Amino acid sequence: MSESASDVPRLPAADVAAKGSVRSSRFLGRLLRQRSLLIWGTVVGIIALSAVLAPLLSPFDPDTGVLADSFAPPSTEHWLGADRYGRDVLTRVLYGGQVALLAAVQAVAIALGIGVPAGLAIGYAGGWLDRILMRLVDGVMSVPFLVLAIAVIAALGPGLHNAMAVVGIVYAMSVLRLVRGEVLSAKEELYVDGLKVSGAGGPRILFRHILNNIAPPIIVQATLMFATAIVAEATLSYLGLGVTQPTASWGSMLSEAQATIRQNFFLAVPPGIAIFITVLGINQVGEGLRDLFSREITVGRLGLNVVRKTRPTASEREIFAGEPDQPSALEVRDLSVSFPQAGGQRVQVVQNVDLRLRRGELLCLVGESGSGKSVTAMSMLGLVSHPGVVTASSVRLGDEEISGLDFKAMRSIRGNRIGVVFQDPLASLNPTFTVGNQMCEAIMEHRDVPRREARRLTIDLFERVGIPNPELRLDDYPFQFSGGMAQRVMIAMALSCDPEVLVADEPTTALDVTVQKQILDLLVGLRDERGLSILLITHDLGVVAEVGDTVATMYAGQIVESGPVAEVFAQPRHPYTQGLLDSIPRNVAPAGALPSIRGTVPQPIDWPVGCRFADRCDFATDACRRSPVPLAPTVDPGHSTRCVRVDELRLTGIGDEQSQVVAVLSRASGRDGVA
Amino acid sequence: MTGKRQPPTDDVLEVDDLWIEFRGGRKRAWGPRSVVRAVSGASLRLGRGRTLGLVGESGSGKTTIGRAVLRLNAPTRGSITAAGFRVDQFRGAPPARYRRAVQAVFQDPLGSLDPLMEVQQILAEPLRIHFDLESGKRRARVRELLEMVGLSTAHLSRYPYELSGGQRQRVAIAKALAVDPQLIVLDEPVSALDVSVQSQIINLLDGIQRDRGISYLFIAHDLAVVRHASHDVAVMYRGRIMESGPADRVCGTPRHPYTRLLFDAVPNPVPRSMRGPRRANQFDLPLPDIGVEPTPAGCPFITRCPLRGPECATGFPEPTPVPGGGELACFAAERVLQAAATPDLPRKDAT
Amino acid sequence: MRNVVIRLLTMIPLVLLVVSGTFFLSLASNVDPAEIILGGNATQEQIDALRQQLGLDRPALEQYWTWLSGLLQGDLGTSLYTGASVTDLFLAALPVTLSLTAGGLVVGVVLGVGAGLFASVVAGTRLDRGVILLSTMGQAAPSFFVGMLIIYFLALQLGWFPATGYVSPADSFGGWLHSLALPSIALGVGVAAALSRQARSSMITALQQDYTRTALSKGHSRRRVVLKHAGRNAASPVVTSISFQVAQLLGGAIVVERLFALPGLGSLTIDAVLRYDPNIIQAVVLFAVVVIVLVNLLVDVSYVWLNPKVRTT
Repeated sequence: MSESASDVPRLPAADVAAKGSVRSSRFLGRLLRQRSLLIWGTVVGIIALSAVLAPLLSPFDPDTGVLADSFAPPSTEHWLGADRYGRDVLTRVLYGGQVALLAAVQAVAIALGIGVPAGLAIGYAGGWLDRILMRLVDGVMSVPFLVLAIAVIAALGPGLHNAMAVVGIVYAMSVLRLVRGEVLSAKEELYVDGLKVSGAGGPRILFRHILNNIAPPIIVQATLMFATAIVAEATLSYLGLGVTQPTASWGSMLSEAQATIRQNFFLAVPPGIAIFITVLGINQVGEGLRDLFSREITVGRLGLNVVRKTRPTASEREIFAGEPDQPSALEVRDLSVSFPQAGGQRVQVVQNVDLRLRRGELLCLVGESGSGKSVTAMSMLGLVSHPGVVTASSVRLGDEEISGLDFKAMRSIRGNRIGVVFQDPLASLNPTFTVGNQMCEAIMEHRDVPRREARRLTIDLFERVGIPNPELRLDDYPFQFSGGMAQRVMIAMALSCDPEVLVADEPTTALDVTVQKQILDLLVGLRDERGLSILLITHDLGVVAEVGDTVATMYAGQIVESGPVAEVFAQPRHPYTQGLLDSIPRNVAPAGALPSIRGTVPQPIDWPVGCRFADRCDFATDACRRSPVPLAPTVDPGHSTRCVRVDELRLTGIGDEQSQVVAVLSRASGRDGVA
Repeated sequence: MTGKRQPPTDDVLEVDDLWIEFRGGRKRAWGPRSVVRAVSGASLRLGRGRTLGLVGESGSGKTTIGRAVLRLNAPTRGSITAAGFRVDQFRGAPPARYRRAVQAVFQDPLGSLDPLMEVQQILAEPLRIHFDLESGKRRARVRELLEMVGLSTAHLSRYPYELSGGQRQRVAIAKALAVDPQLIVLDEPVSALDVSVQSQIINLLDGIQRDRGISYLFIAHDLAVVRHASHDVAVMYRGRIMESGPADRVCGTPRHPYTRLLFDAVPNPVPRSMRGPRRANQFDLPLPDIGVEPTPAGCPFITRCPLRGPECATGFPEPTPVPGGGELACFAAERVLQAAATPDLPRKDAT
Repeated sequence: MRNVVIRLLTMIPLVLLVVSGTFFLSLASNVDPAEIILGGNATQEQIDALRQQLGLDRPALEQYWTWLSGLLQGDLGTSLYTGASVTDLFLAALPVTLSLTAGGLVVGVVLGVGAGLFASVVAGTRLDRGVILLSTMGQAAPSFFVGMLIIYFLALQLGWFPATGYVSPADSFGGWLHSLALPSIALGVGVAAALSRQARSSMITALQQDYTRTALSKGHSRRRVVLKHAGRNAASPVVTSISFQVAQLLGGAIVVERLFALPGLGSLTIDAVLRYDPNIIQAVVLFAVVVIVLVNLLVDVSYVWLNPKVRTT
């Protein structure tokens, strides 16, 4: 009955142990894959090491020179030449590195030493202490740090330690702010509530849990800070406020080089490059760490993920649900979507999907999370995120082939011939523009009408979808709408150019049940009065029963069954559909344990070769696991299934209301009812 | 939840006239802060070894009550007695004994587990906090807990993100069981799960309750799920308890206009063409706005209620007993109960 | 509106706090201005006399009061070193620094936001990585090093721009622009680097939001989706980031003025530090804080425009 009962205990112990050790070395593996992080880490390491070992590496004294060597060009003796006083430039660069690194260490140590504990304490305590201290922090941070450093140096006299202490304190403020912010948001995390309920005290939550979770951004910040501290030291020394003559520092060397820039420009190059490479290296290490801790974001080419055309592979059997002679509004053949995996290979999350949406029909695409139902719908519109690859042998809108269209051609279809409604209406509307603006924009994109006319059309549409006082609501922003009203706006927007097809991706999942009912009624009404063809994606078979004409069930990237709703619910031909029907919680008196499907939906990478449902199926045989199962028509017209044992199985379906009541009544006598 | 259990009579949870308010934003630049009333005068009782289902739509205040019982927020007025502790009177962090007695499972199983800890660390954490066990015994206990929720030792060294939703929720349940609580607040424990997995978790919770006699406060928005999981049900709307009583009575014969609206909105899994002709129902459509905002003192359902009268705007009714068990808070109770005698009312009743 | 007013009111004590802090810091200093002015071989009597003349012998609070009441009347005191009015020195240097800062801001915002916008649209491609690399390099090169490179190549070698000096726009507008070109670039490179990253990341965030998908599903052009729908939403963090960069610019101006020998506040400040002239430093700190306060205020106002939720609640 549970996930474990089916597969996990069969794992041999050695295998389990191996998995454990793989897990512990995973971080190392990711680290090794970050090549640029390793390279730049090495560069920074070499710089640090050569600065530390400067006395061993160079025979010269950094502060005294031989005047005869003044402005000596690079030579075998002075690899980078000598400066005005005949001092060896390479030696001074190495010693300057010592100064820079020490200064940066000092500043970062002060910053972390003050900022982290203070940030943790303030963030966790919150309240008035937080408000007052953050005002103070704002105050300190509002003064440019160089100006602040100068003010302090003016009072205390020049000196690198004073200067870097100021830098450290200014940095401490930004560390404090970062840590506090992270603690504040971590405090809102549910797991912190969980810990409180477990009885963990403040310090335990703070140090054992929150600190661990917020360490990555702090480490990244500290790294980047180290780089800016090096620049800060150079800047102060360049201005003559840092190290005092004749001590070598990259900043003071640049300052001296500037004085003689007309005679000898080269002197500026070694210290400048030294700063550049060191800071660049440390920054790259910081970036690398950031990537290591967070998942990479890739957007890729914006706007269209084109459907690539493949040659039809499946036979031209008629395997679509419903009346075969009805003209189709949207038809997809052999649609597959794949995404790249960490190992380099691609994994198909949607495989060879065939769908036909007929005119004036409401087709429900139903499945659990991860079944590929939303990706299927989005892929037809070219809205699958990169780097997904979409292929299909054909995508037809009415009589027109739309696979392989370019962005411009696709634009004339999106919003015009196909309207789309998404799951979360408040996130799907742009928060910074009024709904009227977004509506008119949609209308004017495809219709050559003046704005006044667009507004009038908008008001009509708002009225049709049941938004009260449309003239007034037009100039409201999305956040001023409730979820249900916002979804009505989305529907109005999708309908704004009178499309042939409406794709609704879980349009009611984010809504309350009473609001869901209203939205579903609206969709059905639109189908009936406009002959709109609707592709409704949902996970809720109750919704399918309420509104669907035909249904296609998806499991693990494949359509496993499709057919007219009444037929599929009365006589399903696939055990998965039956399992889903059984699992729907129904408002009847409980009788024994609730039926469920054992195990869990497998990850795409673990999808088996044979029937993908076999491991969870009560009827599975060896034949099911042997080879891929094709989607095949059943004896009923317009009803097809992907099941080897279709001819043997007699599945019970949903059962009608009458039999349910009878069943409940007969069971009721056997249980101690509360009433 | 069937089976012949004779629930003991003593109450594990007693909520009496609970009010919870939050400070909101300002309406005008220099105006006073508004007060958002999340819970208004709620009273609940939950007996030992029983499950009380708390249902409502978003904004009904059901989660707020659950968090108040867990002392994750503080009540403004009223009393909460849980496992013998006066929760409303705690100053600062509740005592460890209370944390051992009352536990929680939250909706989002991924968010509610520390993402950087392996399953075994997550389960060991409450043991470390509350019991002074040597490490061998602690490990044994962790394994025992895993077994209890149907997971195996293979899951010990996984991180939460490596588990499926159902497995994570099992871990969350095991974590709650670690301290052997008397009461577990289940805040939408199956809402984030796929429908086929929901039933697994509900069956698991049911089994645990039979074995250990734990009481559940089961908070959910899915009425059918609540009916299956609960002995008693309370229906909330905008901070008020509208109707309460035995699960089969409330879900089988809902009496309050709001409860009926709610149940009528639940999609019926029997396709339309397989059903008999549909009865006309007065709760099908949102009623025309009457232009009255519900007042804090009045009934919050007034804007949508077909039975509203002038008194509904000014006060909230005392709960009236309902035949078949439970109570209902409606000024039109008389009419509602009379209407119940006619056959136009919901369909099946187990009694 | 309420937020703006509150912000303004809370900024007054902040400004007061910072400038008073600077004042007391200089009082606490163990450097005696009188000794510095008179040089090493002055007698104790001479020093005492000068101290009395400058009012340095009075109790700290009294000195503070004198300074503060002067400040409120717009009197910033006199330079201990030259005896000139600090207000006059300040006003003479101000246009230079303002021109330079504005120039750096323009270079930084145009280059930075432009590059960030571009990178976000091609995120994940080679072009994007190229922009990232450039901005990392821009962050790694300190302004004075960049400045020296462009002085050497563009001014000394090619002779396209003057290497140093400042031309007032009153004398020659073209000359003013010409004299500011190189310093603005030197100052603006770092700002551009920082802004490009912020612009890129907040644009990428906005482009991944549901509303971007909605805009695409409505059939809009890429330009409209990027500039209108994502751009408006991405603007707030970029504007915040610009306000932080203004603080960077003010600090950076000190360095760049020194490099290009521009007679601005930076040069005034460095001279004041090296000679020990506390009144000038206090004036500069005050100026910096007031500028930052005003910029923050502008940012707050811009939020109201950018984020309708702020506007209506």
